[in-house]
Formats: sequence, structure tokens, C-alpha cells
Amino acid sequence: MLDQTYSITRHVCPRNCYSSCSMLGYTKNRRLIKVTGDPKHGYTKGLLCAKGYNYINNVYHLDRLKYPMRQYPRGSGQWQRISWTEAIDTIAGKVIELYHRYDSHLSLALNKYSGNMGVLHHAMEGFFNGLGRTSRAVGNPCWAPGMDAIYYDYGEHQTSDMEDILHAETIILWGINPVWTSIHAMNYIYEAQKRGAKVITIDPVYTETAKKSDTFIQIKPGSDGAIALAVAKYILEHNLYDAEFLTAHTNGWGELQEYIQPLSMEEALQQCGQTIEAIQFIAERLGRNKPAYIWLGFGMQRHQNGGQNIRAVNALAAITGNIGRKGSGVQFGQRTTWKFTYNILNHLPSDNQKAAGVRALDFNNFANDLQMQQDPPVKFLWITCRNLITQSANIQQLKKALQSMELIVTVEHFLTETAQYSDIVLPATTQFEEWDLVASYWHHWISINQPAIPPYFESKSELEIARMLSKRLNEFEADFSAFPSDFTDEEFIEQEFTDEFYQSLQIGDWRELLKGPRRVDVPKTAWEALEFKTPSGKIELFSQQASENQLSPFGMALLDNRKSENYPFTLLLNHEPFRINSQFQNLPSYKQINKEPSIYLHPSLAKEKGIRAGSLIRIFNENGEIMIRARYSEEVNHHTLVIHPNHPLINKLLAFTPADMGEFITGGKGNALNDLQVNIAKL
Amino acid sequence: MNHSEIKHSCLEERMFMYQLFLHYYRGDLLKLPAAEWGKLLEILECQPALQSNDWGRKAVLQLQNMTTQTLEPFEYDFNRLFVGPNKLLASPFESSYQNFEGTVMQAETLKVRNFYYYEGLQVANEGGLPDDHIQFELEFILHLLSSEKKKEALHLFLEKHLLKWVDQHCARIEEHSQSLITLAFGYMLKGFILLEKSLIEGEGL
Repeated sequence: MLDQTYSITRHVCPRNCYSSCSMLGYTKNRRLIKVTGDPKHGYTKGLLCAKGYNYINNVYHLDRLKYPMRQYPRGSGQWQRISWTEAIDTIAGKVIELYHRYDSHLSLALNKYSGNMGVLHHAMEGFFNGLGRTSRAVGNPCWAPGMDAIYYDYGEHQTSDMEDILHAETIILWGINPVWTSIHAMNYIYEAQKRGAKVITIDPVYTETAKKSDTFIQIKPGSDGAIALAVAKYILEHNLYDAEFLTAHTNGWGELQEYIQPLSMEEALQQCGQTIEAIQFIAERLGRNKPAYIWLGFGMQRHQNGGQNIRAVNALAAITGNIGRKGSGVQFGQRTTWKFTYNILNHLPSDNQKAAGVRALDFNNFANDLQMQQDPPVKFLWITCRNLITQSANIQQLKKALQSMELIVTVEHFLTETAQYSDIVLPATTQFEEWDLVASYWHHWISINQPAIPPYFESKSELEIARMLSKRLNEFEADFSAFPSDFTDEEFIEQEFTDEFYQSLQIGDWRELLKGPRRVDVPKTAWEALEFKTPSGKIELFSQQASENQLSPFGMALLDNRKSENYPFTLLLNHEPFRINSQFQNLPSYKQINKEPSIYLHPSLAKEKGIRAGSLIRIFNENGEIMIRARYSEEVNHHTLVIHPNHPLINKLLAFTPADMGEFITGGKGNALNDLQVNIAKL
Repeated sequence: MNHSEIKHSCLEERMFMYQLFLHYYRGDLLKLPAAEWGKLLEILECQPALQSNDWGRKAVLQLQNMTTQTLEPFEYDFNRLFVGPNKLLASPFESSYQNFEGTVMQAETLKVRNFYYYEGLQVANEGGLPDDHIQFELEFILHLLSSEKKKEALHLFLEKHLLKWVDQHCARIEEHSQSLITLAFGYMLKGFILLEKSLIEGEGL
């Protein structure tokens, strides 16, 4: 008889997203029938986004990978189903062969990113570490410049609880569109508005969030630092700064004043495209309507001056004393709750002869580094949590570099463009079929993920794959791999916690997370003790560390004039609500929304270029060209174009344009993806 | 030939055909050597009901043109249609034909499971493998066919399940097949299902 009762299990959305929602899975007859938000999650409070509510269609998607498959020749589409034993034997055999050929593991490379943010999804990194020194994609395409900027200014990455916004008088949503990309935040923002806060959105695009704000200030892309400088000058000239705060809690105010004073207000206004009235408005809000809560999005730091943009706003908040007090602060992203031991990464070879560590291949310049490193060359590439081919710059160079691989293995849920270019694809479980732990880079809650249903067909968790591979290697050659093949999932979870972490979560055992997510005991207001982790112990308006890293010691600067005459338009890559880059693309109902890639341009530009709405146009730059449908939008200005980067088309135009920062924290400079200069023409 | 002889001979052929399709969808034929294909063809040529049907004859004709070169793309095409890793071009799952998202493991899957339970049967790795994969449905039909007493259940299962979606399945095979063998089996299934439908209608159940 079919069962009439259902079980409820806890899950976490592991996507690269602010909310890291805790979810409840309802299972009946070993079938997941419903997914809801978890009301015990203190930030998301039982709500999911459109993507989250659609997980059943993702989990039971007809096209999910079902079996290990081998393709020969690579890219031919000629796939054979193979057993896990055959897959693992083939991979292990190659690992051993390459080790003996090169007397090192450097010909093995791992390229993993944020397709799944779970702690146990570090299994493949742990496996690679357990072999010895291997090659690894190092860096970050998302938040690298901002992370360095925050570090230079404050010395650590903290955010306030979102409830803190309820104490704000002024809220500045700077380059962030939470209506589309962080929906849970909106309830807090609306509540703050109800309590009297004024919401200002500063953005190059009149976003859905801007439409719900009290004030919208449309700036030119990348000019965030310029507008911050103009506001700082105004504040300085009109004594709107918080002298007491500056004296007590900042380092370098005197130097910064001297630096700012001679800079031209006119030039700053011209660069950001504002009037002095707009500058006065922001300055007075920051100086007179405190506390001011500023939320910085990730797009504004994906510029060549991206780190400087973030530092400029940090400085603005510090100058007006809007840091460390309830309802204030500059929110970007945090890592203070990530208190896991990450022991999963630390099962290193006991053989001291084997070198440990990684040979770094720049994440954002991967194609180049793959070709450059020849001693020994990379011959084996493992790709996981990553759609490398659609989410990289220099696609043609990358494809060429991949041709010299002798084995490419991709772990996936679907046959992505990257998986299509692999020799072996291994089917991975989803968060409804495996154990995991997930923290957030935004809020302060930790959630556990438990399995609800059996793995779809023959899919396996990355942890299980790592264990199988390690076991097989050691059967081939004793002590070849140090990654433990005999630990259970629960044992791996257990070793991620310390007594201190338990105390911080106010639990005695990780299994208590099965009753509900827990908040990590960090201050509710970032920097409330006003004890900063910088060398001076203060907010560094003048950063010696930045200076030592060949950067300006000051965050504030005017832009270099880098606009190209041939490519006068800036193409922004703004996320939309139904997909995260190439994830969630293949849900039939979502395919009904924005059925084909489109470029959004202002009607005045369209008129100038003779482009009709809905027509195909050519977009080109020095890296390539694409044909795409044009849509009119009055949400962008004349020189700005917008595209939603949920399809691989745009990558044909992208190269690696290093941002100013990123190396210090993430190991590589960010890619200035929003400095994409293009030209357009009608067809 | 009296009426009962026709029925008996039909049952044998039906059993054979269901078994053949079961092996086919389970992937057992993917590694069949060329010589064995010849033997299979000989057997198919002797199936009277199949030969009496346009689609059956078309299928046999296709297979008669088979060469060793035809065998090579068979596995790749079989995977393109029914296994993956690509977007499945002719889904072998009942439920995927019944909902907008085309997902597996839906209400139909449970209804099929319920049928199996009623007969005391269960799919291995239940919950991981959808119960309404054509391979399992065919195996279940074979189970029901083996006993005269289960005739009613058999007809009910055919009407409520396999016959409801298999035409769409065959149409997709016809549309997307790139191999002589997968196309031949698509024709053969289509023809066989026509025979099954007429048999059920004839029996008035």
C-alpha cells in the first residue's frame, strides 16, 4: 500500500546567493512532493524565492544526469553509459599514470566554484589536497575587489543583522537590486520605510528596487567612486563630517582631507553625471539623517576601479560616523560566521616527500594560465560546481587550452556546455539527496542539509565520489591518497565543528541543527565595538597595506579616462530573478520568461543607430561579436546597455580585464566584467 | 485453426514481443554481436502478427538493411533518445508526458507503483528510479500476461498507463532517431501497440 504520511526534512539552498535559505522538504513514498521555506530560519522566515519554490522541477528534471557517461571523441556527442567502477578505474588509472610520468601531481588541475556552497562540497578540494601538490583554479570572479577593499579599511568582513536596518533613518541601496536578487531583504526594507526611513537607490539602471525607493540617483557605470568623492568634498566643505568619530575611530583623516581638497568637484560631477543638488542631497542625508545604512552590491566592484569604489563608500560612511552604530554601516559580505574547521580540506599526505599546497591557476585568467604552466603541463582537469565554458572569459582560448587535456571529468546535474566538452561526466546528487552544511556570506544563520530521497538514478554526492576515488587509488598503490575513504558523511560533518563553534551556536551537537537553523553569535551590528582588525585598530582612510600592494592608500579617486572611441557603450551584466547565471536555465516554465537573450538599450540610442525594437542587432568589441535581439528600455541611460548573463552568448565579448584588487583575500584579481565596452550596429 | 489456437499463438507472440522490448529498453541489445542480430531478425520475420502489420513490416525491412556500420551509432543514438546525458529526445518515462515541466517521478509514477504493489512487486532502488520507466512497465505487463487470471489487471494497466503515452513516445523516436535500429524499434513498437489496442478492443474489455 502507498503510504499516506509524509516526512519533513531540512535542506539548504546551496546556490551562490545572499539568502542561503533553509528549506523544508516534504517526502511521501520516497518521493519529494513539496518544498517550502523553513519558518525557523531567522532571516528568510519561511519564504523562498521563485527558484527555490521550483526545486522539485529541478530535482526531478527529465534531463538530469542519470549515469556516469563517457564520450569519445570529446565533444562528439557520442556518449556511452559506463559503470561507476569503470569511471573510477579510468580516472584513478589516469591519476597514477600522470604521477609516474611527471613525478608530481601538478598535471592534475581542479576548477571548482560556487555552483554549490556547501561545506561538504569541498570534498574534491580535500581529495586533491590528499594527493599532494596539485594545480588549482585560484581567485574569485564575484567579489574579489570588494573583499580586498573591505579588508584594507576594516581588517575583517562583517555584516549587520538585517533587522539592524529598522533603526536606520537613511538607507542607501548602492548598486544592489534586492527585488530581483535578494528578495528576503525587501521585507526588512519595507518595514524600515514604514518606520520612516528614506530609501535612496544609486545605480546605473532604474531597477525594480529603484522603483520602490524614495529617491533614485542614476549614475554612470563605474563612477561610484567619483560620486562618493563629490559627496565627500561637499561634506568636507559644509562641515557635515563627524569630527568626533573621525578622531576616535579612523586613521588618515588628515591625509584624506588634503588629498580630496584639490580634486575637482566639476570633474567628479561630470564623471558620475550628477548635479550638485544630488550631491548635496546625499551628503545631507548621510550627515544629518543618521544612522545611514548602506548596502553595496557586487556589480559596482566589477570594474577596473572596483575595489576603489568600495573603499570610497567605506570612507564616506566613516567620514559621517555611520559605522558601528545601530542602523548604520556599509554592508557588503561577511565571513565571520564561517567558523567551520574545514578539516575536510586537511587530510594531507603523511609522506613528507610529497609536497603539499597548490600551483595556482588564475581563476579569472584560467585559459591563459592553463597554457602558460608547462612544467609540467596540466593534463587532467576536474571540473565541479562550475560551468567553466559558459562562465569564463576568453572562451576561444579556453577551448584551445582544453584540447591539450588528456582527461576532463565534470561532476554535474545536467549536461552543461562544459559537460559536453568533457570525457567523463559524473551525475551529482542535489541537496535533497545528500548531507551538507551551509553558511551565508550575508546573514548569520547556519543550516544543515539532510537527505530526503534516494539519489536520482545513479547519482552520488561529491563526498562519495571523493571517497570512492581515494579508496581505488589506494588499492592500486598503497598510501597514494590521504583523503579518508572510511569516514561516513556524519563523521565528516562532526569534524567541522569545535566546542567554540558549538558554543557560538548554543548547541551541544550538530544534530541539533536538524531541529532548525542556528544563528552564530556575532554582533548584531557590524563593528559595534568599534575595534577594527586593521594594523591601526581603526578604519583606515589611509591604508599603508594598500600602498604596499601598489595601490593608492586612499580609497577615493577620480576615474581614469578609459572610454574607447571605437567601443563607446558600457554593457552591464545584471542578474535577473529567475536564474543564477547558467543555473535554472532549463526549467520549461522559466523558458517562457525572456524566451531569448536580449539586449536592453535606451530608445534615444536606438533612434540614433536606426535600431527597431525587437530587431536583431550586432554587438561587437575587440574580442568578438554577437547577434542579439534589441529591446527598448528607459531604465538605462543613453550610453549604457544591459544584458542578463544567463546564457553563454555574452562570453564571446569577454576577456580578462583585471580589477584593481582581489589578490590579497581571494588569491587573484577580480575580473572587471562591468567595464565591458562595446559598439552596436543594426543588421 | 480454431479460436483458442489463435489466442494461444497470440499470447506467445505477445510474450515474445514484450520480452524483446523489455530487453531493448534495458539496454541488453546494445552489446549484441552482429551475428546475433541476424538470428533476431530471423525470429522477427516469423512473427505472424507483426508481419501482418504495416509498421511491423517496415521495422523488419529496416533491420534487413542492417550492416556492421549500422551497429556502431546504435548505442549513441539509443542514449540520445532514452538515457542521456543530453536532453532526452524520446523520454521513456510515462510521467514526463503528463506535465508541463516534463518532470519524472510525478503522480503517474505513484499510480504505476500502486499497481506494482497490488501485485506484490516493487522496483529496486524505489524513489531513485522512476517506476514508470517503460522497462518496468513492460516487465510488469509480462508478469500480468503470464496468468490468465490477471487479464483484467493487464488490460486496466495497459489502458491506464502504457497505451496512454507510448504513441507520443514512438512519435518522438520517429522524429529524432538517427540510427536504423532505434528507428526500426520505434516502428516495431508502434505497430505492436496497434495490435495490442485492437486485441483489447476485440476482447471488449
